[in-house]
Amino acid sequence: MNTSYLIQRLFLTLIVLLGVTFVVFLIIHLVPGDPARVILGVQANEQNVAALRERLGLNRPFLVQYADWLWNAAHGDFGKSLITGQPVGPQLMQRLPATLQLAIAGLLIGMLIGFPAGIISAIKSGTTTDIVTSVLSQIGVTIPDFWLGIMLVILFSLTLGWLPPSGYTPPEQDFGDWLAHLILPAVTVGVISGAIQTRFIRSAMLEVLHENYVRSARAKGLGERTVIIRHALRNAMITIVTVIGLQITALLSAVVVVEVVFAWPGLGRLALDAVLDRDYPLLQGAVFIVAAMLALVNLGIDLLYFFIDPRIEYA
Amino acid sequence: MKWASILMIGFLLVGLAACAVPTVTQEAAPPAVEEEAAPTEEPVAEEGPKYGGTLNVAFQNEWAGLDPHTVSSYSSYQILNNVLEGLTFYDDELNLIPWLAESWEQSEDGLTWTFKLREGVKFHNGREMTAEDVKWSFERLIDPETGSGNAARVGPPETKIEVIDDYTVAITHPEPFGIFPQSIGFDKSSGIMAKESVSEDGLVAVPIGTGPFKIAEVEGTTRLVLEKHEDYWQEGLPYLDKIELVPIPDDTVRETALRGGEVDWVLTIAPQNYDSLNEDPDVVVATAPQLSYDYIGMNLTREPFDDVRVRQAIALALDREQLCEAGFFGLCEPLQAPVGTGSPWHFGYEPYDQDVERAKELLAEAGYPDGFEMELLPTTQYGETVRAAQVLQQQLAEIGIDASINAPEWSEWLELEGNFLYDAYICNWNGLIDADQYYYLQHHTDLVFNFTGYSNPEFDELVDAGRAISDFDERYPIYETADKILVDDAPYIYMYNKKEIRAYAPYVKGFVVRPDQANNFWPVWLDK
Repeated sequence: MNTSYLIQRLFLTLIVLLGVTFVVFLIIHLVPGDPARVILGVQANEQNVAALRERLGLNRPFLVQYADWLWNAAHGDFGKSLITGQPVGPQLMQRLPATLQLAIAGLLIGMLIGFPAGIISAIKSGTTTDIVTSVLSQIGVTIPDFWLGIMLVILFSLTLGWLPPSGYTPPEQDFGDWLAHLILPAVTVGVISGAIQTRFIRSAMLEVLHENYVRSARAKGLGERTVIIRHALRNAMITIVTVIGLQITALLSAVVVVEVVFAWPGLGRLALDAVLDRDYPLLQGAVFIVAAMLALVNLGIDLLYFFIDPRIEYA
Repeated sequence: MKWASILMIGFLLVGLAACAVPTVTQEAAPPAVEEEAAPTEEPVAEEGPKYGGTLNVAFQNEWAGLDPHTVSSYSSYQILNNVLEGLTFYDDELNLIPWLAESWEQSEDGLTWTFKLREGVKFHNGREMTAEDVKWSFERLIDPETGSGNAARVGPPETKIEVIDDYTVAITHPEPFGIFPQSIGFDKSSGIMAKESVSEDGLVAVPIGTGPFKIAEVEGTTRLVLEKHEDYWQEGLPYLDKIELVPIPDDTVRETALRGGEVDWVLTIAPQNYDSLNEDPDVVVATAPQLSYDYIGMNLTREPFDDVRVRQAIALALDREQLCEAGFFGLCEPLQAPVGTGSPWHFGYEPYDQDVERAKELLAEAGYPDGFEMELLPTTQYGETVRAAQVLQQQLAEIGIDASINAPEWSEWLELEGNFLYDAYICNWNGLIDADQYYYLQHHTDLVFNFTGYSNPEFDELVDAGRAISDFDERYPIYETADKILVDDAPYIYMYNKKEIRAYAPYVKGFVVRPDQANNFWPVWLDK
């Protein structure tokens, strides 16, 4: 790995981000629906809608509005929410940690489910264990996340009273309370992610288990556990890490639904409201942050390849 | 191996929970209720209201902004309801009473209202409220630069507000505004705010008012804390120390939070859960008829809806009981005219009892013996409009009208409704206290909420006259005539008036469900 590769990648990431922001800007301006009307609600009429649009700068040509946004964003100013008038940047930063906490917790739970289930069902391919796992993971993939979330609330919160149904306490304020509130939404996200990961890890392992070097390792007399972990899993890691990278991408957007169900104060829910309200600056800001995070995650994964497989080189 | 078993057990549990759902809600009434010594009929001979405590409140939606001059979301209004105050106020029986103003009088020519203000009222920042503050608040509200949708509460931009002395203010309108005292009591958009609330960029993040509670903490739109205003002008109020507000959009989760004790009070419960919540001894469910109506707005600029016979035919085809069942699970009263039985303005003119035969006759007379096609426009923003539309579709089919349904989300719906791009839209108006609010802005020719294109000069004259005078007995017959004209002309076809429902824990005392849907927290105290 050399620095010129790194610089190249960072540059490409920037281009991608630019493209994303432009496309998003384009789409939300093309979609019917006027933020001025949303702000004024049923009290909107010709005069005050026109006045409000003027005040919010919505009548300017599209490219002017985009360029204006871009210029300000480059200086760290993401503008003000059309609906609340509050600065977008701080609002996004305030909501971001909650989403990250949920996505990471969900991912970890997913991995806790996916790795063991995927590996074991690959090893025991064709047996009852494998079939049962397959069925369960199929169910997990198909379950709608909001349904699972509400079911968990009804079971663990309403019936058993073990956990709170919604809400959020920052971890630095009360760690135990934060954890209690995190469990149900994280499990909702994690179970479904786990089901997906199970399937990918299983097929990645299966491919690898049929390779010659696995047969050789067994022939050498190595213990089964060493064969699986040191040889098979290691080689499957490239695929697995790719899948996890894709999962992070999916998770950051999937948490929107879970955030709404559990009233979890994250970025996803904010972005959803921004869409419904046609709050352009807020939506642009939210999309930008998520896109930037994803781009960095993908870059990180690509760099991770170097460590996993020393044979990889980029010409 | 172990993992698979654990997974299986986990999924089985969830699956069992799913099957158990229909009965779960009824079983969630553990007998451990007796440890809570809060019986609902406690002899009043006790000490009376207790001071202190925090009320945990769950709203449905986040509050989109807290500037009274630019808000339109219900959640925002309800917060402001307890933070700001107006010169006048509607009590729980909907009588207009003095509040920040002690008295008021109208000039001879009817153009000027003079208000005498209460002395010694303190803002949350310690400063005393004077006539200057009233002038500042009203002027900012009506300033076209502010772009407020509620400016008309105080008057047109030409309205003059004059400070006579520290405690006297005079408001002069270009035309007599007979119901001005009523108008500024409707909601807190015309509440008195301290000018220190405005930051450099001209925005209001935290409004400073004179109300019983002040805004202590704001975490974006996900959590808000109100604290008792120590220098509140009404002696002995409020009882609560704090109110914590969070939005919980999902109905099930919000109700679980109430049942589980996470919150003490919730705004709106899903009407379909009314019965199960009512049966739960740990929850108090209270209702009041709203001052609202759910209606079908016809596009009078489009054929065939420009023909009054077609509109009347549709009105005659409706089975309003059925619409109420479908739309709001029976928690409503059918309406044939805008004003329901809960309002002093109820006139009782009901010419549209269901008569399918007569409806068909009218359609034939209008030239549509075989009916026609049309599109209904409810919105997903209000689930009850979509449910009602589905039943309406069937009812219209009975008279030969083939109706399709287009149910966009709020933003898109507003575009279509605001620009005459529809056949018939379905929506509701609520919080209507004075007769003027039922008739004027929606139906007067070319006024701001006239989205149907209705124009009747005789009607216009009547509603103009009605709002120029102040006395209820004088106004009643004027509006009675206007009501008859409007109902006969049917630019709106009325369906039902919903019930306002609140649910809270049994230890929450002093809360009154109001027909105008206002949530007043200052008489509330916690019996625990």
